Amino acid sequence: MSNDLNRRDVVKRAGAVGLGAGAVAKLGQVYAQDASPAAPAVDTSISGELNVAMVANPQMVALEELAGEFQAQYPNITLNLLVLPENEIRDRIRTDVSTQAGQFDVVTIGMFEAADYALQGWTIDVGTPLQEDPNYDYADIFPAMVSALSGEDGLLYAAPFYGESCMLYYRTDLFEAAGLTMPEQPTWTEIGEFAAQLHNPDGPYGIVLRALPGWGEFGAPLTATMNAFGGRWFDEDWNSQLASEASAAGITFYTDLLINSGQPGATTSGFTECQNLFNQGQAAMWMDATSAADLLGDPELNPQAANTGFANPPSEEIGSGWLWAWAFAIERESEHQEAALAFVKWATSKDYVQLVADRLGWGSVPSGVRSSTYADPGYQEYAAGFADLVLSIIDAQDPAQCCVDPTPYKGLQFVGVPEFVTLGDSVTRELADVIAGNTEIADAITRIDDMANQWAVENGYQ
Amino acid sequence: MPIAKRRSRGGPTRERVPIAWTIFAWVIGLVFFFPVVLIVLTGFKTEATAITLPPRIFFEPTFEQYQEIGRRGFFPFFRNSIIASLASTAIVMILAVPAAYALALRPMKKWKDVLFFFISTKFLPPAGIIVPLYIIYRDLNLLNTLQGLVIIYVAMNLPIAIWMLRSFFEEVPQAILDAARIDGAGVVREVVQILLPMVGPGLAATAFLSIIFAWNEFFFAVNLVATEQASTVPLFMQKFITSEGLFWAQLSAASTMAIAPVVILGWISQRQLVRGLSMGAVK
Amino acid sequence: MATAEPDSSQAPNELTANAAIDTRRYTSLGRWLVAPAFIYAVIVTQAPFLVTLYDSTFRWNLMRPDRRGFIGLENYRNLLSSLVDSSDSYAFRAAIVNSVTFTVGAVVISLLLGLLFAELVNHRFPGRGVVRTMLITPFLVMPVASALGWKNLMMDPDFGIINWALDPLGLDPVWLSQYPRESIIIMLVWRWAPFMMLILLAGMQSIDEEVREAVRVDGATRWQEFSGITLPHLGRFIQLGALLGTVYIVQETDAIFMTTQGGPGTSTTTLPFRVYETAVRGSNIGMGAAMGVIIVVLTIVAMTFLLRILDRMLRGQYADR
Repeated sequence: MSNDLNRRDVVKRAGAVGLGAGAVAKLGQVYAQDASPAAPAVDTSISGELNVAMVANPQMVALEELAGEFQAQYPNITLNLLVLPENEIRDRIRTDVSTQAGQFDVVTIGMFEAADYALQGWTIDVGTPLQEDPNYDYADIFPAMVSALSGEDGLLYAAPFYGESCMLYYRTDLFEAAGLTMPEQPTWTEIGEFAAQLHNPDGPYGIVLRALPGWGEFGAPLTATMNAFGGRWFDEDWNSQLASEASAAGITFYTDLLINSGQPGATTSGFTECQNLFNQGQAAMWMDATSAADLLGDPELNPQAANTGFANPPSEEIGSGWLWAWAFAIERESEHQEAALAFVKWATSKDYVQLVADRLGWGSVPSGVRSSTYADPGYQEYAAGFADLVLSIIDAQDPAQCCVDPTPYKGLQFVGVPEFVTLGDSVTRELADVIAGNTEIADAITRIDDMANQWAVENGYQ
Repeated sequence: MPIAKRRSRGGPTRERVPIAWTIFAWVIGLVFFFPVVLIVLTGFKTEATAITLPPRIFFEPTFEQYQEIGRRGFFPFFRNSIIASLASTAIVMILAVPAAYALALRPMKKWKDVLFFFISTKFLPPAGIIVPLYIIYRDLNLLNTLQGLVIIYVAMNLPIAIWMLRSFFEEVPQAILDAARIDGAGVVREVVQILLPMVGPGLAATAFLSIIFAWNEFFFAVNLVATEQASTVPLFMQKFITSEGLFWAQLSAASTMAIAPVVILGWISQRQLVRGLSMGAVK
Repeated sequence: MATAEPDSSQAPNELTANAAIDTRRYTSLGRWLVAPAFIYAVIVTQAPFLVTLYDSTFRWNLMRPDRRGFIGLENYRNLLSSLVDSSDSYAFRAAIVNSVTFTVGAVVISLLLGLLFAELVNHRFPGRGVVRTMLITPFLVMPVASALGWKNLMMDPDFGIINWALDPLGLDPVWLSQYPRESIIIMLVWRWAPFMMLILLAGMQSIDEEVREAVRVDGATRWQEFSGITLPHLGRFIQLGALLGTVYIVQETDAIFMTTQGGPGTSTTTLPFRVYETAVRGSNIGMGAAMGVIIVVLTIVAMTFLLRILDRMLRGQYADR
């Protein structure tokens, strides 16, 4: 712990989690008690030039920060990192992988793409070599993550870097002032009532939720809510179910909730915008990815940290399901697969988690993937308010079982087929128009239902 | 009609405008300039002050954001942008000057169609060709290279350069050209010794526009480049749009760095630019 | 540039050809000089365009190479029939309407503002150079940077400075979702009005100062001077600004990409953005290619038409030449 100031700056600048000075010192002690991790047996003579495409989020920015460690371990590998915002990097990776141009050796992909890229033969099996390395402790990774990132052949095609489900964040002080209690397992109906009661048109708003068009932005909480109400996107024959009673109820609930008790201008709110509102004390509640917990728990970033409560994602018929991981895959066209594997192994190892904790603090650790992270006393102390809750939420997710009724697709907060991008984007755009006050919800539901059916026909599903 | 006619570069000189004119002009100027001021100011804030309400104009400036930018390596991006804009502009001028000269002064049959063809190459949305281009570049090993970007930037700026230059050449009085030809000047001498000096300001204005458009280009850069080897400045800014956490101050600082070179260049050369653009109107 | 005479030079119409040209000899030299640029443009722009034409006849989603197949003109048929279909399932009609709205709106407003700015700074007043510098700056700012600045620092409903300034008036508009089209046009105008100012200022400064002096001696008001001398002289400059503005603004995607992503609904989905969504984000290469081809055709038609209208409008004003 020679360089507290430096580390703190690094973390803060990474836009992630700045630790209070006291916390740093304490963590230092905790970590100092740990035995230093055994150096893994690595062949450090591997060489090559590695191009890695990464999403600009705090965890990856932290990795960029620590890339020097990797270079020190593998002096013959040259590491080039391309960091872009999520939308851009996704488009970029998709083009490169599907044209098999091989510009990137390692690409960051999500659960949405993993199985499909594997099916097309665009990425290679990383699970087998990772399993062979006892130091890697493959069994430590959450089974839900492994299964959601595996191909149809059961092999793992992308190694999870960090993972998340969703949860509910709320302001305990506002709840107290209004004489409300958050149940351990709230329902959406209850959330709606709370939001109406707590809503102040000038802020804090009753609830903030994403409504920025995009299947991965607005699409995720919307689908989770719709599924919770017993809805689904498609029935087993790929007939659109968006206009079914249950789906329509879920969709309408979400849009009504935002219109009546949500933030103004919600249609430009993605994850970041919602988080800013919560940090600024402008939100009484917020449902979003569990990865936000690490950020909200930090008093330097979130002035409301002391008053931030954590709860299970709301349920209705069933819970609001959500499972996501950013994972590293290796392009088949890569000319440096051996070096690429070394990088993937390094970045997703237990040792890397320790390295981040040591150098940048527990707030920057890629969480949600390994049991050992949650067992670590350091993390337990840092994330005392939510670690166990996050663990139990992630544990409860089953990507094959999104909905009350059976579906022909996998995926909890999305439809796990590659063409879904266009459908998810168009549907969320239509619904954003409802929230903006330009369309009636009933008309919009009819339209998105038509869209979904036409999409299914065009893409050969129906 | 001598080309060196006295031009009213300074505008009307002997008149006085009312004070209201001055005030109005200043207000308009400040309003239009304000977003730039705001971006620059925000770059000197901390992330927390960047989103305080009410927005703060007066605050204690911090260089935190710029230190971070320095740490994340601005220079390679800067160098790549300079190479890409200067190299593409040089090639544009080399290709456009003879073509514009010919179209203006030695027109071939169907010269109008040729000119329209050049402009029409700007009608296809870049998004429409990006995947075919990606595949072509993949096969030619041009992906993730500055050469690849330069090639496309030349194509991007060539039409407007030819079009502008043609109009400059066209305004050169025929009498001067005839005189030169009677003197027995060859084409090369005609162009180098007579035409280029006359259209100099126009050449500079054209080159400058080409530099602006290349420097600011984002779409091809983001889609054809994979690493810092060929990343240009607009890509550098993208690093700071993180999907989680606050980033306004840092992004603003990065924006300031990204826009500064061309903005300053523009400020310095605005007179030449206006003069160049008015070239064609000299009768 | 100002003298471009786009009317005579590039539209396939038969308007005022420059008389001087007709007296010059057609030479083979000209052909040789144009050849390098021409060949370059053909190779670099037409090769991908031919590929696009070819791709447009395929059912081809990049994610599903297994389902790729030749389908003739079906992409075009689907796309064109969706134009008359009430559901507008490819959002292509909306994109056409938006593109026309944004382009016409931004070009016209930019020209008017540019005219105002140019007239303002073409007169001598204290700090004129500074004001001109400030007014030129937006054109120099990288579009990606300015879009992000507008979205976050200016128009954000909670932390943006515009809403803060409007607050005392009791106004609290949510720019990008309540007024998405207006917001995009504001950003486009902010960038392009300075460009128009540059061109029009160049036009104004090419006016013979003696003519101005003469009318001023005759006691003309400033407005008479502007409408009688300045404006008529600017005809070709306005035409040039309109043309260049159209060519560039119709292709602008940076602002939309960085702020609204085409939404809410399809209210800011323009043609180039729609192509991006289809071909790149949706990986639907076949349909994206068909859209691209239709856009080229539409633009050629629109430009030809625009050139004619402008020419007719401004023809009288060439009298001073």
